[in-house]
Amino acid sequence: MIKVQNIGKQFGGKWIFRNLTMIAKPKELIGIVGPSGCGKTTLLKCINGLLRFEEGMVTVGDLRLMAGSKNHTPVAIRQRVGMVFQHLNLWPYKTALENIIEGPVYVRRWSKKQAIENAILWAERLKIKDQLGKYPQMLSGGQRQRVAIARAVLMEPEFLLLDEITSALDPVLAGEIVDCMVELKEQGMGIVFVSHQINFIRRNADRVYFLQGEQFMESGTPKEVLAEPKTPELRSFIESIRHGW
Amino acid sequence: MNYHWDFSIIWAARTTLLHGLLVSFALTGFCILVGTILAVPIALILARRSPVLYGITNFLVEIVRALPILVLLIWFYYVMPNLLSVSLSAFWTAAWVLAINLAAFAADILRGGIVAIPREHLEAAEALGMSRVTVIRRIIIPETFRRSVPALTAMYITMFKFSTLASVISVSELLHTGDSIIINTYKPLEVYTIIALIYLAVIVPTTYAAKALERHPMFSVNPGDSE
Repeated sequence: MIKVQNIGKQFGGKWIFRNLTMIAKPKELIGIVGPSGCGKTTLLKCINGLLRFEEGMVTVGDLRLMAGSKNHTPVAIRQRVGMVFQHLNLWPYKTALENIIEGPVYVRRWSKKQAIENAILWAERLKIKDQLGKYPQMLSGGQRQRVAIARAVLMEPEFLLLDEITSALDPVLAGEIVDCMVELKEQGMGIVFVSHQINFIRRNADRVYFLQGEQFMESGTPKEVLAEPKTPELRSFIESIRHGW
Repeated sequence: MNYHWDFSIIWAARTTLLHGLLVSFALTGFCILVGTILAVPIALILARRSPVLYGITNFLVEIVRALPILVLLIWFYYVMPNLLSVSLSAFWTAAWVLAINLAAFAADILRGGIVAIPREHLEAAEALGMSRVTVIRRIIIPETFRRSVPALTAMYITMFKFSTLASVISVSELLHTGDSIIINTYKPLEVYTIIALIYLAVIVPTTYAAKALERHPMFSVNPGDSE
């Protein structure tokens, strides 16, 4: 289980968020929504230990990340909590296959053969098998996105943090990726999903958090949060999404 | 001018010249290998900027960069044995001086390459749970070298030219070999002309090969862009 307890993060003396508390369990899909710049990506990076935070604590099972800890060694957490970035962050000088197997071979210590076999299985599932020998620059946005997803899931993390991963995809592809995520969730993976796609979250999330103005203004089931928003901020956010800004 | 050119002496001295060329290659090869290996940790320290290590390393690098190679060669060959009771043969003195010099300059090239790595590339590696050492080994070093190939190959070619400086401490590299041939034949113009041609014959194709290498997917940061 991921427990985020009273976490607070500031940049240049300005708080991005404070006192955020949330829980993500295995086999659960958590949606985080909020306007651009409200700190959703920052929150994911704090959970993964990519960014230090000033207040609170993140625990993943028996592992702990404390605020302001000098001994910031979140490597073990990252091996249990994978992340797919909004901008994908693929290595441009490695082929799609090399991008995908880098973690399993050099972190999980799988043999190259085993990593390639598993990578091919995932590539088939994500429909990028024919693209494995290509460099990221030679792939379309959607194909790159799927390479990034394959890279994260091949590590077999217990939890997956997904930052706007369907934003660059057409609706059909986005639907396929979403089906994949739902399948992963059913297999036992916990997923924390940052997205503007309210419909996907409404259909698939177990719980939703609405982040704005340094805090979670609303949280609950999609029905509670998205169908019956209590705050004017969430109402206006949902309206703005509907009108496709 | 009524100088009588006689290139037959070159043919007679071909084995000696070849030996000199091999010594030049050996000097350059050692200097490239050891200098580059030394440059990697120096570049990592310079890029990381941890206060104490950075201060000491930067100070030492600046000293090496400030001193002409000729001065370093003479100092290491003639002064160091008196000061530290450590003496090396002329060849090894030249090899180490060239390697240290290359390390100081290559470290700065590599530091630039490290600093130019986009933060996202490191984040991706960290997010997979790579340890600091694995990130350095699998991401920072390979990407830095790809970014630094043009500057490094130019530096390596320059080091081949600088290997001629070893002649001042009597290392029998190509130029020094030429001098000894001149002493025996009194034909400096032929010898120096042939030596110049040999340097051209080595350096020009190497320069073109280096440029081709820069475009090869193995040495490019964005290999897909060139296809």
